[in-house]
Amino acid sequence: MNIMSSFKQGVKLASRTKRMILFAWFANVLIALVLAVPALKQLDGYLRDTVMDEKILQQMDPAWMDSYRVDMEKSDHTRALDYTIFGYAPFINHLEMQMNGTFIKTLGGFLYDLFVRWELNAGPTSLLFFLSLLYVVVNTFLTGGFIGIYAKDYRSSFPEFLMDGARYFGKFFRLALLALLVYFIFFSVVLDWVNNSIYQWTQNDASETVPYLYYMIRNVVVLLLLSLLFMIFDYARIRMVVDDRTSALASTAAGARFAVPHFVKTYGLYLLLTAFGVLLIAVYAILEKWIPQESYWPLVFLFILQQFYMVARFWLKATFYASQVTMYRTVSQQEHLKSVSVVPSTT
Amino acid sequence: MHDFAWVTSPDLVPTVRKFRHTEMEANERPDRHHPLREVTVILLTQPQHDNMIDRYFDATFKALRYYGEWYGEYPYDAITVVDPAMRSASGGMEYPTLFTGGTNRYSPKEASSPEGVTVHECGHQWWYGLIGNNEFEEAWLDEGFNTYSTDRVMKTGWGPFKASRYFFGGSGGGAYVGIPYVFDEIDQSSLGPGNGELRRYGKNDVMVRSGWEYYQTYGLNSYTKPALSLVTLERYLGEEMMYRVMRTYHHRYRFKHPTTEDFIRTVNEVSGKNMSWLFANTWFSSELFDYSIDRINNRRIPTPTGIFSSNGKESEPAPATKTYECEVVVKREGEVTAPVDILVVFKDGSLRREGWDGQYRWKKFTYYTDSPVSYAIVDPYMKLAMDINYNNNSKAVREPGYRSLAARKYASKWMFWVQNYLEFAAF
Repeated sequence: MNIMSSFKQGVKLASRTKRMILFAWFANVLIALVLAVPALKQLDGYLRDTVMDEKILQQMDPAWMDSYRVDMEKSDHTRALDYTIFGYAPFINHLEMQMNGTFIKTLGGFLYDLFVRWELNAGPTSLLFFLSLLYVVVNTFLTGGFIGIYAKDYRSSFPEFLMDGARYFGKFFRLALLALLVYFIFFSVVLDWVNNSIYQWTQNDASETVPYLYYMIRNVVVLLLLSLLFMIFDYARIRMVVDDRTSALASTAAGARFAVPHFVKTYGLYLLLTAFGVLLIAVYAILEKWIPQESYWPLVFLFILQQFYMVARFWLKATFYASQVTMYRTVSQQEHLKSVSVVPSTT
Repeated sequence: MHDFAWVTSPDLVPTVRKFRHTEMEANERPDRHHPLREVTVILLTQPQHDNMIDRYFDATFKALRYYGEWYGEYPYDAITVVDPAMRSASGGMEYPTLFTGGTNRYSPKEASSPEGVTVHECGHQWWYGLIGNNEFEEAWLDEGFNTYSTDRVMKTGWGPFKASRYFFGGSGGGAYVGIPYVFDEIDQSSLGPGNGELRRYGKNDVMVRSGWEYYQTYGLNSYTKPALSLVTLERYLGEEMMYRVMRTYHHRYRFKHPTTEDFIRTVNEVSGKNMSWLFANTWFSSELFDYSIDRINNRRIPTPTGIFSSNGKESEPAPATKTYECEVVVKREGEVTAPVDILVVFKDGSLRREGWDGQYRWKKFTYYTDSPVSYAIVDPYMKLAMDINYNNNSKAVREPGYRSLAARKYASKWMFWVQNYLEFAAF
């Protein structure tokens, strides 16, 4: 099975699970609304009775934004709201946060304080943090559902999707804890060491091009390593389902034992799917820039476009799972057949 | 000459150009045109900043031109601009006839680096260099004046710069080195988040005190607050009068050591007004300005009904003179006072301009009109640049059920941000 055929089969499988994809999108919307609805009410109350309402509809005023942020410093709903909500900055901002391990480090520190030092350290945490935590749990459930149904030879129903989500939740949750530990070590030990080292190596350099080059190399290496880790954990989940494994550690090792020896195929597939993700972002960014955002219907259209993007993103995510399950099943079957066929005949 | 500096490096790349401004340009006023002496500008750049040479020269020339026209000619034959090395901790400094800038190779043209720091540091040739104030005990006389002047040059010399941020990088030379992203939708204000800073820390200190005596507010009280107060002064006096005040002050105290009182005296003398109240409320006070429109009330005047009589005889009711009784209440939320303008706009498009001395805690304006008030703004022309909260400066009367479209726009962007964040955070 080559990359393209896995991908095509993955697309085919994913297209049969539209309801599940929409369900995943809906869960994402519901959780985001917990922050968005109060933010809307807050902004509405802040703006509706002032003439700034018309003014900042046309263009954001930095003085207004500064004043708003001072007023909302204690608000949990919009504390993180800044200029990165504009254009395609959300993707850049989030990718950077993911590459820096912002959420993982905060979560790791929070859990360490809670379970090791017996302290509830709410300092770095916020409603966004706790919602992200909830989303990790929801995502774990949904991932179990998706991989469960793609691992079957027949078309699954929506109730089966939910049942698979529940069936594999325990296993995938343990795997998520292991993944958290691995990522935490990666970010807090490896990446922090790399960042500090770059600073040390370049502290006597007179030119910023030197640290810049180091940081760009770091970015490529981090992206490569992170994507490899993500892929290994994807195959760990797949092997947990397909091979009916229970141990998170053993499954992770099994995931690595599959992904690494077949690196060209597995990573090639991963890159192909990631390229589609980048293409989606590019299409969104171009369309978003074209839409005038000063009147009602264009803003409605923008909102619809944003949600179309999110649905497409979940479709791509489902295609990731479906393609990788297909890749694993087919390659492992082929290897099994090869190993059976080399057994010499005894007759 | 009250200070000396020298620079040496085997890496610096020298480029020399001449600044000339003798002929009047198309956008100049004849009464403001002052031929300025030719200045040799020696730029010393880091090898990797070859792409910044033109930007450095453009910024230096504009500073020499505008500071020269507004305040007084740069009196020396040459000026040296040094582009410092990364991590040398020598960027953004000023010495007579020499200053250091600072930039990075990846600064986008939409961002104000190196323009902002170049104009500012070149501007110190006037404020501190030619006007030799005590930088330690009266830091606002150079940093504040220069921040105000820099803002003017940036607005005059260029279109608005855009906000930007660096991603995927790290610490490099005291700044963040990375890939720049420009926020096309957001103009960058050179006075920065000044009003927000005032709100947060303004009450910590009175501005007029020695630089080492501030509590966390050296930057605010040396740079931002005095700059904003000069902007306020300009808006109260008018641009023409402010030009005369600043030019007189500069020429009177050029090559001398003026004090705060010298400047205040010059303001009052040249303007012919007693502006000491403004300095009392800003420089000599840690209290803050904040005016708001507290309430708008439109009440329909009921049409007279019933039986009317006049001189014992039944008569028609006297016709109602106006349809609405409208009240606009302006409030002083802050502790310092200033005279303010109020603009009241009615639904039929008509408007009233009012003035208030801003002394008492509130003032009510009552109107009897045929059209209700649509909205009101206190300080509509933003004369009071130091008002710490512009968001309460206006109030609009909305129809029942009105919903802010701007709120929806930004809330949906925020929601999209959150949705994507959740997906990126999930592992």
